[in-house]
Amino acid sequence: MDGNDEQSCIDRVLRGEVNAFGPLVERYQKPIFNLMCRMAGSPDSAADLTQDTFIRAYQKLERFHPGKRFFPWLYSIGLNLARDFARKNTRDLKTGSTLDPESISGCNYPGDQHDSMCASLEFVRLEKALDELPLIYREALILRYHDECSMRDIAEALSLSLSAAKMRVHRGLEMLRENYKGGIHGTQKRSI
Amino acid sequence: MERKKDPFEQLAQGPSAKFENTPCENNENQEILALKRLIHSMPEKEAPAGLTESILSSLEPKIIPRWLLIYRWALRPRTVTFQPLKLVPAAMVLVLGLAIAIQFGPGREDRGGTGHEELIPVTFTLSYQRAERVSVVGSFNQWNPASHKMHQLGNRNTWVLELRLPAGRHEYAFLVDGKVVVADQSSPFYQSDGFGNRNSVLFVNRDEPANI
Repeated sequence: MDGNDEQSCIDRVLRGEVNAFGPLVERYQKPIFNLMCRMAGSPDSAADLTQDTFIRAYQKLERFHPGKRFFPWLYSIGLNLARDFARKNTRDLKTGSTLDPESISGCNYPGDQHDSMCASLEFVRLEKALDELPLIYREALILRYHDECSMRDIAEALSLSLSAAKMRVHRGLEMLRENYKGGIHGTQKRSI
Repeated sequence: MERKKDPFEQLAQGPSAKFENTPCENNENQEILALKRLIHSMPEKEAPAGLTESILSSLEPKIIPRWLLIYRWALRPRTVTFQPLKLVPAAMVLVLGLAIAIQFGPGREDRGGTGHEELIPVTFTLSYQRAERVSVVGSFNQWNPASHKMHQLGNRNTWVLELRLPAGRHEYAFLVDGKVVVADQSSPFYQSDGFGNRNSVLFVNRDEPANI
């Protein structure tokens, strides 16, 4: 689904076709759900927040600027909802691991079983290091290097200027390297 | 004793990623590159089954005002493509259209002299005793006695009318009480009308208004 397809879906939704929203949900539910898993912790809360994100986006769809990319706009809505959720629950946000043992065991890595286990351990270690980063730095890195977003899209998704988004990515990488090198030092409270 | 392998060394050779380093990032060290690759291959959780259906079932059809749909349509960026070769005939058609518009368009009358071109004020005066009504008839009003009626001044023997005429040559005469054609005695130029009468000839100059 490219930008034109997305725009076509949005146009149809605005003309009253609810089902035209389905392809957009299918396309972006996975990254939004994973964002919510990182933010909320429990899969149930993450699923609720994902649903709320899409419903909120649907309600505000006429405000979406034609010609822009849908995903950064959706992501910014999701991020705001997740922040509100965190404030209301005043909870320690350190529980949002997307890499539970079940998901790791399900990974199909190349190489023999030993390599696969090493890779899984590296992912766990990476997640711990990411988890110690402030939220904006962590999400900037994931948007850039996992979701392959452009800097402009990252800036829009995180409500930052373009230069601020570049700085977050650059600085986030440096911080991540330090965290990763230092290993797991226990949990720290993340700043929102 | 075997050296413990640096985790970044493993990662740099680790799970291959389609992620490409951007040019400005080429100078970054292996550790950073390894981390980028690791983030790229980080596994994701699948969204719960049935989430799409659950979301769609909770939505109501949108009712958007038509003006907003048109506004959004106008806001949408569009890409215009063209072939230079096709520009030549298009430019020719445009030039031809402009030429036709200039030649036959509504502005042509203005330039021709009968429309809204610059008009010069001209005052016609006639002294005539015992007249009930006086009109100016001429080439500028197709000799129509009803179109330019003169006004009586205080002494009731002097009739006056101010007109705005285009520059050039005009023939005219005064029509008294609808039946008597009187030439302007003050005009130095005359032209026979072919019926035994003389029409006065007026040359209107752009530079100064005329008093007849």
